[in-house]
Amino acid sequence: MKRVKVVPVGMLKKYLSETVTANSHQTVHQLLDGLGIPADLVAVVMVNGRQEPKSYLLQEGDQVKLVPLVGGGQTLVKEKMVA
Amino acid sequence: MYLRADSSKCSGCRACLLACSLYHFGENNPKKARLVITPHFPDPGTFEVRTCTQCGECAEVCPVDCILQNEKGAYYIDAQECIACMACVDACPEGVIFIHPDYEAPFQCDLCEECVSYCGPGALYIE
Amino acid sequence: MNGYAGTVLRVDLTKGEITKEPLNPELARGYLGGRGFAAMILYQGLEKGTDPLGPENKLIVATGPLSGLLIPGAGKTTFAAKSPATGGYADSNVGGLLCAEMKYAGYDAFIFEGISPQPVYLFVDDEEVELREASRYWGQGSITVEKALKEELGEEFQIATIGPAAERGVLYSCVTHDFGRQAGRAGVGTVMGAKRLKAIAVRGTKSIPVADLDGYRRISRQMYDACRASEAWESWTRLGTSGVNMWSNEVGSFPTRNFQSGAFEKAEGLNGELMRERIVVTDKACFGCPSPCGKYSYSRKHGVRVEGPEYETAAMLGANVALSDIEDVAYANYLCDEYGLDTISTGNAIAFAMECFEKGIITTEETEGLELRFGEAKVIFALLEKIAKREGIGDILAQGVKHAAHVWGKGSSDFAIQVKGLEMSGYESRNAPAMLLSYMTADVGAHHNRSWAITYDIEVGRDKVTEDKAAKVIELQHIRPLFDCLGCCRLQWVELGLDLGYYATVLKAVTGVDRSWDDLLKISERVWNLTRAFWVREVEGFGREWDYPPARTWKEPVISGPTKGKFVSREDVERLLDMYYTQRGWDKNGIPTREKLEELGLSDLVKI
Repeated sequence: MKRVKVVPVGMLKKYLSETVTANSHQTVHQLLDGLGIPADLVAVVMVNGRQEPKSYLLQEGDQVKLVPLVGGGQTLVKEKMVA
Repeated sequence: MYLRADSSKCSGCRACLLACSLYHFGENNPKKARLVITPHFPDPGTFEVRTCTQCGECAEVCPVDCILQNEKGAYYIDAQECIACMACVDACPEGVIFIHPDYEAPFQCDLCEECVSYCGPGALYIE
Repeated sequence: MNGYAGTVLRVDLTKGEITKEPLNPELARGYLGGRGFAAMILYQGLEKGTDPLGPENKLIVATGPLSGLLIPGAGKTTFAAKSPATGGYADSNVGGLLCAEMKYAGYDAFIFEGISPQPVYLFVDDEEVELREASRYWGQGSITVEKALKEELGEEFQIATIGPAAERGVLYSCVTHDFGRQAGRAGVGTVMGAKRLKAIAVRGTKSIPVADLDGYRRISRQMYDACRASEAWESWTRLGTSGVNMWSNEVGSFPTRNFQSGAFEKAEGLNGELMRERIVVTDKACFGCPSPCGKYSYSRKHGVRVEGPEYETAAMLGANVALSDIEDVAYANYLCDEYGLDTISTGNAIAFAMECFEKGIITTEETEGLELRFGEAKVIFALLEKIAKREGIGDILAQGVKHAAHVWGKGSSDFAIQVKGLEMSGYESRNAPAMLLSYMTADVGAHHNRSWAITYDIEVGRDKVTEDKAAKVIELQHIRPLFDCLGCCRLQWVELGLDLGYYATVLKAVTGVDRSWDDLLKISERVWNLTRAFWVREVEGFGREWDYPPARTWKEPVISGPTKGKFVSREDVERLLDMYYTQRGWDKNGIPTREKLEELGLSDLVKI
């Protein structure tokens, strides 16, 4: 089986906690379905440093980064973390 | 050791200038920086970064020989000895020896690398 | 005063007099800066019923305590005035380098009053300040004048200009700075034009004092490192806001053909990656920003250079007028920049006229022969120029879609897409109630920058009309405008996930005043209630109905795309407002209660 590397960013880690490998020869849409990530929460799909549509067919060796929009949701404050 | 700039990567944010003035003078003041960004807008729409090339012409023209080299090989002006004649400022082919009304002596890059660490797009680098 | 330059410049344009006043420490303590300064100065300084285009209106240009410092994106300048477009409060902020230069010159804010007898520009070079003759620049485009002033004065001067649209009184004229950045909304440029102030030119050589230099530098370092380490840095820097064009279209929020739909069948032509490869020349950052979202472009097709098009422009002068070639959008963007028009309101006005034409409400008789068909680039450019010059139909559209609907009638106000008289920005919200509520209650009219809640709708369920959505909108309405008080950009938080905790910590190091993040949010809430009070005072009969979205929201479902058939009912609109007012401590008509004003320390100032 051919493999691709999938990196979740920001709040998408709620759905995929860490970088995983997945099968190529499926679309990004199918990949998201398989991983249980709601496609509408993925704002930008970067493949090897370029933006690709969710209809993109994954190729062996692709590095896929899934970038969410954090603007509406994430308002956590960790004030103690900086000295 | 040289401070280099890839102007095509510069986005004109000036963080480098501020980092420079904070490091050397402890002040928020890009007019006290030791490198320069020249924007060319609206046409062609690019930024030009100039840094010291350590060519040594400043030291050559200094009439009181107060431009020396530090341990990294960077030329610097000994402000105690400087007579503020500005010959080095005029001679610098890159235009990167600077003056500011707060100081009599000019100043130039000493290869501290502070700017490099604040450059988001990676336009500045050490070679 | 640490974090501040310490001086405010008051410019009486009528008399040609400039005075330097010390910055009031109480103002800094209670309102921080930027938008906070503007809200307070306008509330306190304007007489009730001030004519927005008259000499009594004030144009405020304000920096914040983080402006010009080594903080990611510390380059946000607020322009504010009583709005000629809405009659209410307006502030609009612009990125770039202006606020940094103002502080280096020694000024926290400029307050412009009166009307100059002839066109002038404000010249500021450290202590040297004067009004200079600008007749030779009057009538010229924003970019042209910026270039000319830099050639005349020197590259180091930071320039803000208005274009011909503002001179002629188009109600949504903007202020342009740094070759393509705008304080775009609600007619702040129109006010500048009415004052015959063509430009502002500033250079400064001074330093900005901070309280705890070591602490500030340490946190600054952490903030830059965190931005650069963010996994979203790569995509954000490559694409800027245009990275979300396709996403917006996929989720049905990309306004299409005057907000009839939220999905544009030809959106592929506006794809951010395609834009990057085809027209982007240079990444262009605001002051101190490590993740530049500005994309400076060259359209070979039209032979123009322009910053953008960013998301809003791609939405409003792309999908919303059915333009699908990014180079055509770039050209429309260029025209708006040069004439000094807000791309959001302009795209709305053109789309509104086109829908009216499509429905037969107006004909070629009203349009001087122009066949106003969606997607016709030449027609769009022509109409845009008519608006800028206020010629024929352009004169009606120059006064906004609310006015145009009033003139053309026949039910067109249902689809005049505005709230409080300000045209809506780029998110179709009939299947996003929190986003809709954001637009309804934004304190300048239908603008997204106060609260941007569509991802919250998507996350928790788009059909839900629930208390938590009102709570989220209020939370965002305090966080996001807080950045406009601090004088820095929010996108490092929004897009790169930079922790909000840094801001309270670095602000303490900079100013020496110990305030928690919650303290800062309280200040933001105070400003929010003050701007609301401004509306109450200035607009006769102001209340609940001013928060209503256009009637299309409940009368007409979305016509196509993934949200086809969706709408927000009239009952749900009322429920959203009920929940929002209650949570805000306002009465049923949306007026702040005495208890709320007392809680915020506003009861002495605000009498309503």
